[in-house]
Amino acid sequence: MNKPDNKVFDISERIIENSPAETTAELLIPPDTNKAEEPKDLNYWRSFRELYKDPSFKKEKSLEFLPGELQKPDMSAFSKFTRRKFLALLSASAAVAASGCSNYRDRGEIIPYNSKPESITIGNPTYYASTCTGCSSACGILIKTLEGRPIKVDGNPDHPISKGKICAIGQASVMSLYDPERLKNPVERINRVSPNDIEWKNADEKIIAELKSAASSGKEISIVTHTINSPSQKKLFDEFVKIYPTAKIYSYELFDESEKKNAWEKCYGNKDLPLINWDKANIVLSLESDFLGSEGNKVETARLFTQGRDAIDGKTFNRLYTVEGNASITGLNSDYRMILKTDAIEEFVMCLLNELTGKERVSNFADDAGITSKLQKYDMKSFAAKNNLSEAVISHLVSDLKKNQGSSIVTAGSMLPVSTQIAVNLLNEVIGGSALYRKDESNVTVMPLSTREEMENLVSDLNSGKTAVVIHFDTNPVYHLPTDLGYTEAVKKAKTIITLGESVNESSEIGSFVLPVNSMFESWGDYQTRNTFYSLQQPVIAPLYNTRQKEDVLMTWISGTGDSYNIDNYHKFVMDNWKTGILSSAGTDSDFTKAWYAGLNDGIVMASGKPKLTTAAVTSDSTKTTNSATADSTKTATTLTADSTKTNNTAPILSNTSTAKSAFNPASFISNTNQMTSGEGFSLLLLRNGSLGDGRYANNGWLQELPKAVSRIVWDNYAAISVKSAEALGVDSNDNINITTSAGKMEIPVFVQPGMADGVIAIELGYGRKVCGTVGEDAGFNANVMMSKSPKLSKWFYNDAKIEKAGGTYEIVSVQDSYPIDEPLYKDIQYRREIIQEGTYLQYKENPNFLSDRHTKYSEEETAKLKVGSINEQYKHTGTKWGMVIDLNKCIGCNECVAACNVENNIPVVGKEESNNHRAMHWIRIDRYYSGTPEVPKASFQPMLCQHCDFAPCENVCPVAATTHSTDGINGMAYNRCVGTRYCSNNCPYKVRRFNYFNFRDNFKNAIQEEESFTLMQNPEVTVRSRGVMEKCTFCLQRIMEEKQMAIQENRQVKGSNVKTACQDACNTNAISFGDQNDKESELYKLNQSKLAYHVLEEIKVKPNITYLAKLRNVYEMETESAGH
Amino acid sequence: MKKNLPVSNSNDNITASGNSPEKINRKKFFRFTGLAAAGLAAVSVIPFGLFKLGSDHKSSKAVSKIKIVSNPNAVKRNSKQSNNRNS
Repeated sequence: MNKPDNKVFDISERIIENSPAETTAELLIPPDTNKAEEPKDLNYWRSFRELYKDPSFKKEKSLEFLPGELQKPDMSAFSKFTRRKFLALLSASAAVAASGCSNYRDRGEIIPYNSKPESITIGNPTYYASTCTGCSSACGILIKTLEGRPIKVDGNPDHPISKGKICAIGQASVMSLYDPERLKNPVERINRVSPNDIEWKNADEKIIAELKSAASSGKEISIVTHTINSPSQKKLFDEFVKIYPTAKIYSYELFDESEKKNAWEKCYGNKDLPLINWDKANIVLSLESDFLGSEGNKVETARLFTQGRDAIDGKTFNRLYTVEGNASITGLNSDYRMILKTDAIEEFVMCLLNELTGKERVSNFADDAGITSKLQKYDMKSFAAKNNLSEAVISHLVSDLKKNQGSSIVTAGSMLPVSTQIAVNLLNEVIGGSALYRKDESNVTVMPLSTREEMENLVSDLNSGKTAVVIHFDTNPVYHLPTDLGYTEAVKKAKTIITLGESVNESSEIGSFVLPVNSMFESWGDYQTRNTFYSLQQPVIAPLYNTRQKEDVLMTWISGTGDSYNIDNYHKFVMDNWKTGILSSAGTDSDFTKAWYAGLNDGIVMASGKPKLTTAAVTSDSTKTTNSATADSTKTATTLTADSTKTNNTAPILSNTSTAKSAFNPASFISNTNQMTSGEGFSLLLLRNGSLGDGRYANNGWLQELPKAVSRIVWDNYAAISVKSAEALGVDSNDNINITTSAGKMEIPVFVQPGMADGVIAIELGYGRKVCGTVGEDAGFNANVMMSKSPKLSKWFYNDAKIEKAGGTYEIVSVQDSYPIDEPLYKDIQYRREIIQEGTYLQYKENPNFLSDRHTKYSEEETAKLKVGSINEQYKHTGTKWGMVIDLNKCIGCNECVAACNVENNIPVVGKEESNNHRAMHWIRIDRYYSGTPEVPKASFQPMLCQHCDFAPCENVCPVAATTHSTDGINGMAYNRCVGTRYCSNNCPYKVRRFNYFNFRDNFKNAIQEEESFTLMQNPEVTVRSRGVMEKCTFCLQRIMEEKQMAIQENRQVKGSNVKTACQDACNTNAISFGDQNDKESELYKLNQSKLAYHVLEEIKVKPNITYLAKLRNVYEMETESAGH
Repeated sequence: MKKNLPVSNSNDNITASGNSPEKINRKKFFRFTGLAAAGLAAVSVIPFGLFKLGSDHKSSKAVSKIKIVSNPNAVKRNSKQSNNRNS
């Protein structure tokens, strides 16, 4: 019966094969249900084979596996994707996913304080008043710290200059503090080549020996420093000179007001340039001056200027005329802009003087024969015709200056030569501009900058071997000083070169010793820039690295032994200086201590008058220290008036304490024969960059990536030239050119800038650093090489430049596409889409409804027909509804809001390459629109950020509901829900969403932003986003939450005006207002109701919560329909 | 009973039938894994930056851990909006 198992069993066969008896006995048992049988085992069977006891069945039962069951299957019939492969792939992909997504580095364990400092409450920030030393303006700042970490810098609201505002350099200074490339230890450069770490004490001992040797042998010790505006630092230098009598102090700045001061001295007999009441000026004429963008103390000037430009209050709305060859922020914000080659500006001033004195007989100077005879050859009409200036605009200007005598002011750019400045001084006398010179306050010069002759003497002493030791006191003269001065070669002849600095620079590369110094967050100091108050600087943290305050280093050298260093030396020195000088009127030690701490609390001490520190209750951690006087927080400070005449005993400061106006000397104008005339060559302007300053912040990524206000270019400087000049030269943007002047030669790419005068090249300085750290090295081009030590006109202005095409290109990157503004498709698109709405001030005064009157008027019936309902019912925000108003009349496009937003919201630096890919991560951007022609454009600036629309189109398309709306009107983002589809960005009409294509902190410059020190910079209240996540403005949600918490604690309603967003806080001109739109008592509500209020892209009915106030130009002509609408 | 099983029922045969020639040898696997781990450790631990010649900051010895210590002599304010006089 070894038959194949698969054969169907035939029961008839079985019956025949088996014995009949056996078969019948089993098969034919008649079931007799009635008969009672003996119980027996039941016969269970599963098949007939078993039932009939088939032998083959019996055999099979003895086997574990049936024959054939173990036959190998046909593998070719199966899928190639085996289980092994599947598991291998699964585990590999899991491993890759795990490693790829685990880029969050181990930040260590979070442990609570064992002994919590009394002054710290976890999560609650503390603020310290201090002084910014980013430039010589010494603005007052408030430093926000969290658990001891400085994370944000804002202006000190109590400070008379900054009034709660601060520039981009101050905002971004926290990045410089935590820069991982800061110098961390003293370095000795043996043979000035190989750097080796050295202990501070050893370095001090070696240097002291060098200093003593130089002093004893009569060799000069040269200290090269920036502006000295600190009374205590000045006193320290004096003490240093006492100990080392051969020491000399040299101070310089890359940008200064030497031309203005020299002219002022000739006209008025002193160098005390007056401050100006910008807010009281009805008419301002700016001559190649960027006073809103980069010149002087722009924080204060921009604030005062825009105070006089308030469309809502309607009290004042000044008119700004500019005459310039460059396209500056000031020029593009002006009402009338005349484009003129820079070297023709002096002739323009002479023509204007002749118009006013000779023709209009304005002021007594019209009767001065010397002046009138000098002016009579200047004719405005022919000048205007020759230079293609509008006669109508000039006529308005002359008329305005004549009508507004005493409330008009003329200002000239710092780069214009002395002769032009003298003419401008006279012009201000003629129009009564001198009435706007401030009488209540004046500038103070603690120690004047070195003159050109003094700097030349320094170099000649170095060359002749008279100088043995050179100390770079946190300066970089190798980079800053004009090449033809020969400093770089000369300084190498000194026996010892000591460079003190926060980071490496071009000067430290040639030094013998490189000593790391504290940042402004780690330093003590006092500053005086005005005669009415002093600013105090206090360290909020102990030095992060093995650094020392530079004044402390000097004190050690003064002591003559390396053992004398103590971290508190300079602190005590400043206090002693104040005790015996500035605060000597405080009386007893106890009163002085209270007054001192009150001053530290406020950040300022008034020299006289208001406000007196009468009730300052101060808190200080010094109550825990034993070595210093303690401030009693329960008591109040004594009445304090600092004595400004007692700055220090040894060297009284050179202050312009007399506010009486000196008389103008007409002879300075009449006898001035060194007049600027228009040259044949190009006019080369070397300008100050508003965010990089003199280049010392080149390694600060936030500042490098902050777009230039006009060109919107990042990470580079360039030669800006006009459209016609580019055509004449046969070059376009990115083409390299060679520029040659009497001072130097350089190669640089061109940027064709609309609105430039023909024959003018403008280049910003501060770029092209070769030694500064990985972020800033080789960003841009060093145009300092174009400066001359003895320029014909001024250090920053040459009119003999020659240009030739160099061949080759260099890509410069703009974060706003340049578009052909004269093509029909793009021309005035901002007006046609009503992105920018503007009119004239006259229009507004005549008809405040002029904006709404432009639109077609419909009857009620028509309106009802036109009304398109939404598919979603509008949510009624009955409680708080957050909103923002941006006044385009006050926004000057300075980008300081962008810098503040970067710091507050942990915005990463993405670098030039990714900026070029339009991947800059800024949550707020300033859109700059041109209208008119490329030769004579008008510009409008518009901050653009998430509009937090009521019907937000981004929300509807998010497949994972990562972006949603809150009940108080905020369009929020849940980062850990976002899967990165980017549908929201695609659907956003304002293009304000930013996608993390990379983990940009990791992707930029060898992951420098992932260094430990940079992680300390992050604001812990804002999530640090990573790759694959969409992000955008949150209306500074963390600040809103802070107010909500305060409201709960104080058992009150949330008050909108208590919340200030970071951009609002930073805005110098107060163009940004934020708050609760439902609060009818609020300023925001009032602004929202303004007749100038509009929403961008209103017609798409997404109902944005950011309102813009239409821009008004204070011009006589009514705007045409095309330009104004 | 086991010794009476037919040859075809042997477990050796079962193993042989599923053994892929692509399978990595256990010894090899551990050797490769060990080498890879050692390589990774070397890359992450050895300070290759030391071999670079360059600026002073690169030669400065590494700072192990940054400590934040607030200055005991500094005077803090209670809030941003107002100084202590107003609060």
